[in-house]
Amino acid sequence: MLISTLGTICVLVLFLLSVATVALGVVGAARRSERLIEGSVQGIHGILGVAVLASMLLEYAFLSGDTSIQYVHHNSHPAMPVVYKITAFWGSLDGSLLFWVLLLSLFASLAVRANRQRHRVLIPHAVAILATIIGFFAALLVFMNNPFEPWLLPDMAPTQPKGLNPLLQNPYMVCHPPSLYLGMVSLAVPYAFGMAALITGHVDEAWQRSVRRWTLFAWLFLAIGLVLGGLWAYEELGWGGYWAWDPVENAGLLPWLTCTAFLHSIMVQERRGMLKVWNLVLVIISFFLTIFGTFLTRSGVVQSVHAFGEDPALAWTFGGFMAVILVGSFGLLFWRRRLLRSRHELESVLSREFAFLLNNWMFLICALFVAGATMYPTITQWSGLLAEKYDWYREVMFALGIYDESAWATALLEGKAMPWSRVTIGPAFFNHYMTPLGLGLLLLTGIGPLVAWRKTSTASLREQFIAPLGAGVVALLIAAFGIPLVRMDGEFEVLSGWGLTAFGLCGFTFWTLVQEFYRGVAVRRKNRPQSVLDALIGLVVRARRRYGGYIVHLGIVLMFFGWAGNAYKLERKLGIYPGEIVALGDYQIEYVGARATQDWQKDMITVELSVSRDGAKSGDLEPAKWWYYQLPDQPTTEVSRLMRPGGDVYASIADVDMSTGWTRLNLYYNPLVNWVWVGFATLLAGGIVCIGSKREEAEGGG
Amino acid sequence: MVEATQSPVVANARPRALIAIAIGSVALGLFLVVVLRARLDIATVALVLVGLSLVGCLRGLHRVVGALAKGALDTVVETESEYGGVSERELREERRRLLRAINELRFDHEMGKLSQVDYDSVRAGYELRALEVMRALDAGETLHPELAARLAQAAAAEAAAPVPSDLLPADAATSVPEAASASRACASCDGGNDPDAKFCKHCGKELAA
Repeated sequence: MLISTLGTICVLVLFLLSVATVALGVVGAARRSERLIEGSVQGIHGILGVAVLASMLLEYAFLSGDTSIQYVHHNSHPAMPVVYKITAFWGSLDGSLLFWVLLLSLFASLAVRANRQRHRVLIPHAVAILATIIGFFAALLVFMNNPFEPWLLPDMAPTQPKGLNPLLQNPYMVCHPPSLYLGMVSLAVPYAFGMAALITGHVDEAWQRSVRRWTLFAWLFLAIGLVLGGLWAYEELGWGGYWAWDPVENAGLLPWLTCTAFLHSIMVQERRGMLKVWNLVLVIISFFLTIFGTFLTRSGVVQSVHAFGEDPALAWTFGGFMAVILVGSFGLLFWRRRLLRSRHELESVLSREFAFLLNNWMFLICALFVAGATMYPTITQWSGLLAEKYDWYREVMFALGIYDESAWATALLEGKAMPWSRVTIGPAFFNHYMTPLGLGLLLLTGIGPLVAWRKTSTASLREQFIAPLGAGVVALLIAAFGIPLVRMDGEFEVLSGWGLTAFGLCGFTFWTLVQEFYRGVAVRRKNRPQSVLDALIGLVVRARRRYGGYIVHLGIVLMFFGWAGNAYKLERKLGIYPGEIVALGDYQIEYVGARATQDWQKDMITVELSVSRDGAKSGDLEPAKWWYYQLPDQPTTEVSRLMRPGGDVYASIADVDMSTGWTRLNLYYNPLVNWVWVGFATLLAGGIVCIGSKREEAEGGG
Repeated sequence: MVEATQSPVVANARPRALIAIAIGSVALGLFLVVVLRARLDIATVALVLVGLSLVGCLRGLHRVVGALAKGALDTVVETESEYGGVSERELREERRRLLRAINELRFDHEMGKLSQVDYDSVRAGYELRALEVMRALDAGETLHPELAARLAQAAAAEAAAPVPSDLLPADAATSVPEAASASRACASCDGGNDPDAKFCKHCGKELAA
């Protein structure tokens, strides 16, 4: 049997099985029939089996080069290294949907297995919800995007396969999408258990205990995916930065923000029995945002100039699914609102509950802002299309003053483009608003651990805050006076308000963490005499959640330290001839020469630059441009950078004239940028400490 | 993230089947490569994996049908024996969690983050819950008698099968004597305690050594 036929059958079985599982779960829960419930549980495990088989079939098709399948033909090339053949599985739309189904069914199966006995009442409902989500994606595979779609006629089998875009043949790109998928997909588990808790009315902390680690897991993988994506952009795209608020990047950031909020607010419910509704709202929103993110990246809505995206049918289907999620979830929440009353009230503004609440609000505002700004261009475009099509809509917009009637009249007369085109929003807009929000969050990162639950007395407040505040002021002063001393170039502005604030807050937050660790160690040593190192290790091991959380905070501080350096970034774009020397901050960069080489895959032009500082040579840079034979009209930019703790000297080339050697160079000095990666590694370590082992779970830190 | 929730028998049977499959496929591969001089390229490996996943998939489907074909009581017995023992393990987990939470709270208090009043009230709540859990742990079997009998039958059938006893986790082995010999009486309240207990779980007094 042909692989395509077998695969299509698999996908069909997958869909039917998930429908059957939903039915079994729902009927089993309604009739309280153990037999049907067990059937639905086995159904979830069976779905995993079918999904694994379908994925293996697609992998086999890739590895054996079965180009009779359209998807394989579009994304594979015989000369591609094996690892890229394997990852080509999720390289494009259809396969990534199958990958999504695979991960989702894996997580569903694991989560159901782990909680089968612990939360018996929740299980059939959680199974039904998970199977519904799987069923939705399976339906997409069956009816719209079958990755096993063969060519219509056997001899239409193409001559030359296209292969994966060379830009994506990069180690970061091997890890980046799967880790984002892992993060996004695993958020379905908390959602399913949250909804099951709402349906059954068992809205105590039990459901949260079973999902806390899933959320942490999702959060960690989203972070890994985001940072790897940033690193990829930094090293491959050559524009000197790592984050440009691209809609697809934002799609990963949104659930990360709400996940972070949830991980904080869940502690308030654990400790104080408050924010029950809020936690459910966050779980719903996080899950919704993962679907929304998939919608953004898959349907082409955000980049496309077409009416409803490159794939209008897919966009509409996703739109419908998202509407069902929102209406269904919030409907349930409304139905169960009486059960979700808080046990306690907020007692004081100077309490950790309030700090957490504030933190949650800020994360949610960030998420809403990013979502709004990402969608705004699309909304303006849709609105413009509506205005062109429907007179009444245009009249309403004229009446509201959103569209200018006279501009429309002139455009109509002169036959020009309509005055309601797509509005584009650049990174500067995002940065303008996200910088203060981010710094506010950094401030809260510092304040949170210092205030006590319920109420903080003034005396304790003074005792807790004096040292960190001092550290913050010292950091601010060092930055204010130190940076101009270090960087004695007259041509650029060396003081930046936001940069200084960021340094100050980094100092403040860093010191709160030091203080927390110091006091913890002191208490441990008082209770039982031991060495400082022992006490420190004991501290982290005994209270994983709390001190793991602090390590994550430390990572965040380091990342902000790196971002603060961004305020002092230098950027020069210039055309130079060989032998010329240009200055970039304190560095002198000499253009030594250019050379053209080639290998079996590509033509390369490499520019040699020699970097020195104060007369001493620091190193060489060799930015290049590569033309793959496979895609000759899309040259790739190969960045070269000199990594230093103080910052990167970063060079890429835009244009080279090989006859004269004239080169258009992009030079950047990115101060402190490597601290972002160091901070991320710290964050990762903290996250792993938090997840810990099963034994250490939930000792109620905070 | 996989948490061990199977009973001893299943937990042992599954890895063994997996190990057998793994060893079998490696042996088959060696046989093909060494004896038959087959060229083992990546596509062939993928094909083998496809075959294995086909087996897994069919097994999963079979289990779905099997679960539906069974009688209700059989299902209960089976899920109980497959996932059973979890509730007790859960309770122990909960006990450990609560004790840690109390520790943590004391730590917070010592670091000067909680006032005495808050500390006392929160701690009292935790202690009450810990007491509840310990009582539940003490109560032991809560199964329906018929279910218990069936489980015992199933266990006897399993015992007849050659399962080496040293493979059974310590958990299953110790749980029975613990429930049976909970007989260390407290001097002040006459409550029964675990043999290795240092404090009475009913009144909190220290037990005589």
